[in-house]
Amino acid sequence: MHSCDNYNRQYSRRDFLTRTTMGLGAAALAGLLDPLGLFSKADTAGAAEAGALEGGFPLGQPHFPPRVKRVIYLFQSGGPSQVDLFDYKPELMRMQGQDLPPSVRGTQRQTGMSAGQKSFPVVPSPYQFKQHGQSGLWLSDRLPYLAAVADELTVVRSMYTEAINHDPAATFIQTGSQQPGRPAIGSWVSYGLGSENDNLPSFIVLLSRNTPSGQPLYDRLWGNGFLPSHHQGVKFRSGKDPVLYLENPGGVTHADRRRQLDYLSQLQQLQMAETRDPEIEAKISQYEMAFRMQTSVPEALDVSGEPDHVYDLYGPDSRKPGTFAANCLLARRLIERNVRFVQLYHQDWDHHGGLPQMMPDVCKVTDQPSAALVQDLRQRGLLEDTLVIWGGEFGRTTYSQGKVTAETFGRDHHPGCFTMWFAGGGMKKGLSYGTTDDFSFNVAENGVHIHDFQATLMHLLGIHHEQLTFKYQGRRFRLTDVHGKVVKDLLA
Amino acid sequence: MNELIGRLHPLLVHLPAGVLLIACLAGYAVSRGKWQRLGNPLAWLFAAGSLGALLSVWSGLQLAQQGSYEADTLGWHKWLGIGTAALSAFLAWQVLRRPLERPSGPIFLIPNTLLLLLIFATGHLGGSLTHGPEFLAERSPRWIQRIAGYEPFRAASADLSRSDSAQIYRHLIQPVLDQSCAGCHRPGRMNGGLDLSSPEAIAKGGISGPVIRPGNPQESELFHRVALPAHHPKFMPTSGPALTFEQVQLLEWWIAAGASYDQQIQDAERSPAISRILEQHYRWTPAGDNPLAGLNLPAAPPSAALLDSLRGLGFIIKPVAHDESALEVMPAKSGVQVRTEQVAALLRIREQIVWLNLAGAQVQDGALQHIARMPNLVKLRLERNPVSDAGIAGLAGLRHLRSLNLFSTGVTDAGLRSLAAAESLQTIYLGGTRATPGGISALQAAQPGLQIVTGNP
Repeated sequence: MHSCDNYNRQYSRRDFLTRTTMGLGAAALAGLLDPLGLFSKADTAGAAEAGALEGGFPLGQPHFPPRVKRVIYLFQSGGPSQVDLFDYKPELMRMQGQDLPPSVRGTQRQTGMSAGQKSFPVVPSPYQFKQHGQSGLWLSDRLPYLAAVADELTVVRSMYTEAINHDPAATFIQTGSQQPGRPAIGSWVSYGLGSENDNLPSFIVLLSRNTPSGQPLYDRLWGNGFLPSHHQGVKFRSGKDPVLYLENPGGVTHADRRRQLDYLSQLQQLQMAETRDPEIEAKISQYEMAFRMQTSVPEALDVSGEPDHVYDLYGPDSRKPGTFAANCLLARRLIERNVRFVQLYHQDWDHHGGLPQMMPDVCKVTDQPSAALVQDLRQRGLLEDTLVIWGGEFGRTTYSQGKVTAETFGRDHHPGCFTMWFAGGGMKKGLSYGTTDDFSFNVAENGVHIHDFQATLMHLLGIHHEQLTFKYQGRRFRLTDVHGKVVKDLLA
Repeated sequence: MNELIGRLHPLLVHLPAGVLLIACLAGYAVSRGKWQRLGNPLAWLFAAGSLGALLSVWSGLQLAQQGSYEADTLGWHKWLGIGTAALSAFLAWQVLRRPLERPSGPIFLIPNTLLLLLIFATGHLGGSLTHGPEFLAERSPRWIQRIAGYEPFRAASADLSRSDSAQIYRHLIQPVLDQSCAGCHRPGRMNGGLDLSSPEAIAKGGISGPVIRPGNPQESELFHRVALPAHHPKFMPTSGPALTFEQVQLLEWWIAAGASYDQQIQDAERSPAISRILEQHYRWTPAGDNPLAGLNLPAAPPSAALLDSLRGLGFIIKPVAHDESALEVMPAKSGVQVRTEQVAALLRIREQIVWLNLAGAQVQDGALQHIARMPNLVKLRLERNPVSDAGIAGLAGLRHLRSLNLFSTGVTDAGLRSLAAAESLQTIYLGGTRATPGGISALQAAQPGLQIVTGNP
């Protein structure tokens, strides 16, 4: 028999007997020696529990009661400047135009774009900072709407990462590894906790279209990696076809499609019986999900019923499909339908040059909807068990990349410290956590590494980040690799 | 000198035991008329055996002075040992008196049998004194354990996830002491004069004084000995597996925190390392973290068949977390109506439901009467439903309800008045309702701690 045929072969009785002689013999011997089971442990039977077990826990339920059931992650691709938005450093005014002291610069990584500069002139933020809310949160005047919800926020100023370029840094914060190939956070959550809506995917991705520039985003940022493929993020597009190829082609009716799927399923079952490939099962369930989504997606995305005051809350952009504002509104609608993980991506934060010209625009596009989302979720009682995350893949340098002129300057990538904010279930409201040095260049206190952020996020969802694993190529993988500490100080 | 003699006791004692055993068995053979010529060696054996027994009694009495052995067992061992020596001397005299005569008759056979029993009884008690009464039983098959009335040790439950009053000593420390130390340090044994089985005994300490200096683990013998390198002669426990790293850390934490016998985990300061151990090994989290604290949930989860039949009605039903009997329930499909009969069906698991999400499910007032009968409900989402004051009124009787979402429902001030008595309520969402500012401030006045979230920006 050709060895390729082994793939098609089921186990025969002969295979079973020849391959398991030792095992059968041992089982028989054990029976002879201890017929009453006197020497065996009493509770081995209980261990044969149904359902996949990962790290000692069955899939589809949290390890402990969660504080957060759903997540909206507003990913700000490009690396927003913490110096100009969140991390108020009055000392920089005094140092304006002077070289960043080498003692501060230390050995931090710099990109090739600015490492060769003769000088590293410090640029204070051109924006005014004020304290807001009862918590006295410092915010730049570019974020007036966020200021209004300051007391709902948990701001971490001491985030730091290991990667210095967009793709590895985004891959790192989204998957826990700088190298592509690992599952995204949303996929891990879908895998570990399962879906809470039979009609919608548990991990949905929305991309902003109103971005004049930006680093490219790859679908693998919301990929399932080695996890079963139905855990990958499903990208919803704006426009009349939100999910590509979901609608029936012209001339095919709903009933036709149903019959077609039934026949297809029969064929797939045959294949399944032959190869036992679990991906076939995933595929069948994906086809069925797609069929149900033909009605559930248009319903979820139909914003025509939203009253005017909701559009007013999210801002005028929210009436234009595909904008960040419209996506924020959609995110709320998906969360209302118990979607586990909604991830938005907004590009346009990569301000190497011309920062004063670009920053106001991107703030204008994102500030109001982000704050509106927090406010809207709170009103509807959803913020209680939903977490909103806002942040990019790294921060930006306190010194200018290139020349500083009266009109303009730029900032380079900076992994050493950056700011993220959170709002919602289980977080301490009105807290500013962690500090940076007077230059916003190094973490001074309570640094939060990417893996710590991921561990904390999993903890909020009721998952031991060390115990949600997936065995692949002989190794058990997890989101936080072998790192990550839950930042308990952030939790309410 | 006397101490050395005492310590030679275990050495000496096995000699007469062996010799006398042979003598007894040979005694039977000779008494039945076989191997007559052994008559002389038999006398010799009895003589040597009884001499050894006397030496053993003497050294044993010395040892009894120094060790702290359990008095009851020691008393029996002493008197049975003395009896053994006396009886063997009597038998030796019997045999030596007429060395050429065949020993026979009840005057020989009865003491001979008695001696045989005494050797085993005395030896077993001696073994119990040095190795503990469970030395044999704990390694015996279960049926022998049952005959001996021995209950195998069971580690205390390591799941404290639902205990909001867990104590450090009682739930974390004593189980470890029971498991690893009490083999030798307990009332029946008291090696080193130390008993680690109860708070009073631990506080008393051992021969060398107290074993705990509250607040100072390094100075506390109890911590010091288990934290030594395993090959150190003073390392504890001397047999059995060492304490795990986590157990040693918990012990250190307990002593450092003052070695209180009734302090609750909740009240003690916890380093991140300790918190992590508590969470991962005992599933303990601070009470504020545990949304299920204070609920009176049925211990047994509903049957899988029942849950499956309810799922068939269009619900997603899941445990709130792994190994919890508390359930959360929501419709399996969004935008589909949940009818009153469907909600009524949920009453079959009414005690287990803690989180119920019926947002936007076109739920009617009638369904709320069923929901009002779910005693452990903590979080109820009714937003975007055509429910009114009549339905809401019943919810005031839910004693554990903490979060009630009435966003965009038909509730008015009348409904709020009925909720004024719902004391457990912590948050209520009233945006998009017809509740007036007056009604809301009346509710706030009735319940000052209640967080009222309205939709009006």
